[in-house]
Amino acid sequence: MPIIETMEKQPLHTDVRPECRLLMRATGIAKAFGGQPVLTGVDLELHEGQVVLLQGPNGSGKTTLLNILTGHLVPDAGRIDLFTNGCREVFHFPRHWWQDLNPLDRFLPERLASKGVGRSWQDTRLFNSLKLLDNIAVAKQQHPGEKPFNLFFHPGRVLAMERQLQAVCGERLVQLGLGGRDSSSGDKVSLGQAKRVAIARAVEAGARILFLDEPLAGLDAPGIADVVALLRDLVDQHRVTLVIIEHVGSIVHVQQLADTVWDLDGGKLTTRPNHCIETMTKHSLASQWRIDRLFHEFKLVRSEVLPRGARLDVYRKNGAANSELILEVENLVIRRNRRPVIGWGRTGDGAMLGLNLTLRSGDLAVLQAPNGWGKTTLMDCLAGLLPANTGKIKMRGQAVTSLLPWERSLIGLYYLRSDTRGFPSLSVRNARRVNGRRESIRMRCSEDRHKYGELSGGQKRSFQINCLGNSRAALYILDEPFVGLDGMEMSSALNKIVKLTEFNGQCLLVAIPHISIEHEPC
Amino acid sequence: MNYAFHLLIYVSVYIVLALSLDLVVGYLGRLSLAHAGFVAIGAYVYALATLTLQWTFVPALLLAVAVAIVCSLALSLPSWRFRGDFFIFITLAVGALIHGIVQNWSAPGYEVGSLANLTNGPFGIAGIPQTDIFGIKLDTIESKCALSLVLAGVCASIMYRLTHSPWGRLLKCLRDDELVLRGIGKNVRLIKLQAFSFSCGLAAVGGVIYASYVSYIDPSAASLDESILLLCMICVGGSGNFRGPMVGAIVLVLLPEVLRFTPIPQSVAANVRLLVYGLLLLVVVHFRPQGIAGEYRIE
Repeated sequence: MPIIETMEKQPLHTDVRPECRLLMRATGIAKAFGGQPVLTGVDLELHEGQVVLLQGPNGSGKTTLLNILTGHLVPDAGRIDLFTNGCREVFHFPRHWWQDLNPLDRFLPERLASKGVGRSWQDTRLFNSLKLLDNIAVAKQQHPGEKPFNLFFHPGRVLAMERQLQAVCGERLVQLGLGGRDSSSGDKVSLGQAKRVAIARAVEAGARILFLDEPLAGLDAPGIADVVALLRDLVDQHRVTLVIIEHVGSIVHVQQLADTVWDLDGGKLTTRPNHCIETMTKHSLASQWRIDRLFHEFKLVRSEVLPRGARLDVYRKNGAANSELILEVENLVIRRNRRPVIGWGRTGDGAMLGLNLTLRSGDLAVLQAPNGWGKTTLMDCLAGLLPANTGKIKMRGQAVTSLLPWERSLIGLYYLRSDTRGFPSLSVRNARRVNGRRESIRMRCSEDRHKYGELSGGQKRSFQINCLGNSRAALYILDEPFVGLDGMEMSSALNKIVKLTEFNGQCLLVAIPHISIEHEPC
Repeated sequence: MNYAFHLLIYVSVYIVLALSLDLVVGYLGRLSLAHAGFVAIGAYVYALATLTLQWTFVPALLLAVAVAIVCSLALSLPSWRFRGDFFIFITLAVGALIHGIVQNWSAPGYEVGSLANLTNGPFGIAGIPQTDIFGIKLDTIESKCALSLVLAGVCASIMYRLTHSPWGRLLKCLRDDELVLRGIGKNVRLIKLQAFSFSCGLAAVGGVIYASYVSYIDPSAASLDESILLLCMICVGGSGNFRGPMVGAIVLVLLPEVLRFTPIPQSVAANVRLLVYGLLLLVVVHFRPQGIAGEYRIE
């Protein structure tokens, strides 16, 4: 089934083997931030139809490299050759100041994008005020309707193109499994759907090389399957070259696609072909196994099936005594714009059935739910960032429904949001002191004096995990705490969480996407 | 009856101004405090072209629009680099600059419109000739009202065409996420340039309608108060769509007129008007942040 069908006819390379066609070559790419080198002489080549898995530990500069290759960041030194549209285009770095005076010869993302170098973002970044259909349609290159002159003097041409585009994009949405959702806006669809639309948008923009920053992060099992199917189709049908950054959790799925692996470590890139990938699979399976082992140290006390495909597993450490109630949620209903997010069905008298939840100290509760279920909404509501419509929330026997977030935190709530937002202008030292941690945190490629905002996504995440447990909180709410962590950080994060439950009188509520790990009740 | 025509002309002028400001504020997502400056540029250019060059209405209108479009570079070039609060400061500076120029480009003893006394300073330019379209003199208020309604209709349909088009879609994208738009290969600088040109050009049309009706223009037209009033219209009425600014313009033009019929002494009325503006803004922003009929919430 062709999922993406570019409207222009792709040039056929019948005489040359497509694998042989070089699309991009970068040599000696170097970049330093604030005197600290991140990349030191990276060399790489990309061929048509190649699928590359870019991996490396947290903070090794994966996103930096991606930003450089897509024009979002100017490297300190090196050279990039582009062959995407048949002729050769060379960028030398460092660039001289007079080169930037020429508006037609600047190293900018829009320039590289128009040459067929596209990217997707880690958070999907759809245009929220546009319909899904328009989110794809807007990427069309050379649309006559984008020139105001044509709007007034060639309205027929604009209309014809727009009709054709709407039809094509509508069909594309159907192929993405989003038929009938074409007038929903970008923020009303689930994460998996949004990621597919974002990839389709980049392809519609004419991408021949597509850089994907964690395309599977935060997705549930069906979402992963959908995105992988889309990527496979892009490679098989349209010979789009893919460079995928992915972390341990979902690497297994990317591994089926990739034929090359780029390892980025210590500022250098090493390339190896696909068959070396088994070791990585083992590694990734090992981390999977660790999750299971973690849960086997615990006893599954109860497992509740929640409506709309979610489940809540509550674990307790073996031998933990009966303990005090920490969190009680009764009949909680949360609406956003009248649409119920948490709250299901109706009883006889027309009231909604809400969520019920009790956690005792020493409990480790894992909420697994599909994307778009309302995990984050629920967590935000428990933390007091969103109002509850009906229902009661009690912490340690005290009603907190009407309390403000900081008042709840005084009672003993610690909330870690799924984004890695922090205080970007604080130094790492001050940021950890704000979080109540005295001793420094050992992190790769980063020191206490660096600013929090300069850390990479994975470093921020591991920083936050490391800061857990320094305050005297009774209830920890962690929203997708493992996204963006590499193998080593993942296991240390798991250890951290195990330790948290060992303290007396603490309990945890962890939300993760539905990844269908089946736990045997023991 | 003349009073009704008078109000109709004012409403149509402000509809043009609010719609043109909405192109920048509601679609492009950049707050501008210099809009009244461009209205004044249009009005002054029209006044000078008809008074000193004896041009008729249409060429004078075109000249006013052209000058305003050239001056819009003062906003669109900084918008390439700046956004948010910094951009607002820049628009404030541009507005103050325009106000300062029309307020001070004068010298006693020189003829109005000469190079030494171009704007006649704080006294403004009086005696702008009757509107003359290809030899037809519009001297009744009915005909002037008809002209302003026709012009407002043309401006509104230009705005409608622009915003309901692939180009308008790009503007909304630019407002939502500029970096992503660049990442799919769109020339955002050109889009900003075009948006500010259209916005300022249409503002100049509003200024021309105003000047040709009142036949007098002074520097207060370029003041910050006037810009804030226009912004108020968008905040109250709503932005990011077609009807919001219209609602805002109608409400804010007609509201003071309603106060006129209440038994409040004239000396107090001016203060009461300001009070009502402020109160209205607070109430709307609190209870309906996107405005009465708007789509986009100004941040």
